[in-house]
Amino acid sequence: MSKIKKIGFTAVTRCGERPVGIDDCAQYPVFTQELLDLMRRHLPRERWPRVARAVIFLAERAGRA
Amino acid sequence: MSQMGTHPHAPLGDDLIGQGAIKDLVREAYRRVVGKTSTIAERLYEPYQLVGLPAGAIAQALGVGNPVLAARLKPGDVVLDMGCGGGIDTLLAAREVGPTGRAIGLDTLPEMLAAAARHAAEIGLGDIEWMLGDLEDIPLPDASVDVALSNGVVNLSPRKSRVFAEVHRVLRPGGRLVAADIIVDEDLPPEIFTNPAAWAG
Repeated sequence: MSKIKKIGFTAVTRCGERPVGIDDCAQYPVFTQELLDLMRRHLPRERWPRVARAVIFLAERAGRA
Repeated sequence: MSQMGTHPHAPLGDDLIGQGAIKDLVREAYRRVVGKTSTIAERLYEPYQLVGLPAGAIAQALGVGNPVLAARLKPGDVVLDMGCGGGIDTLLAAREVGPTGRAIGLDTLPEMLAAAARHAAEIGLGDIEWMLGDLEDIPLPDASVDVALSNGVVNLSPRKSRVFAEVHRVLRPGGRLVAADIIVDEDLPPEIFTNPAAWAG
């Protein structure tokens, strides 16, 4: 969010948020089996359902349309 | 399909260590996507949005949210879908902006653009423009877009600030960026963060 504001966007807001677990990550091609295994090995089991958050953010280029 | 030609913006600067490797990793990973499941789309999109979409577009959905729904597009809007992949968000956007609007799908992989164009043709959305190009160097003029959509794509770029600067450049004053992405709150152990796929993911 701070990067976006620094670029000059205004009215930066976040809407919608859901937890992302290791099983969710497994559905995406950039998460290799090796990485998924590493996550399971190094993170406590209670954290597996929430290793990140998926968010939607909105930002506006300043000025009138 | 439109091809990225020479355009007036400065070329990218020297690559920083690892950026090329991360981009290669992402491209290779997404090149292997063949679209075997509709699980992601069914989780992220409203049922009415999926009605009438080609099965291939649904199966190739690899986003992390539903930015089209959040964008509240209007007929006539010019919409850029950054990293359009199999095209699901571009198709949804094209339906909302209608014939008076313009929907543009941008992706770095020709294979994905070809698939997206096929999906659009299947449902008669032949007016969508498909562009080959990099998010860090968007092949569009300044101030030419009303709404830029991104769905799980900015996090794949090793130069996120550059991506945001490019989006800012192509948006019209008052134009909006609507982006779904993944945020990691807590520090992950170094064993995970040093894996190249973790940088890309």
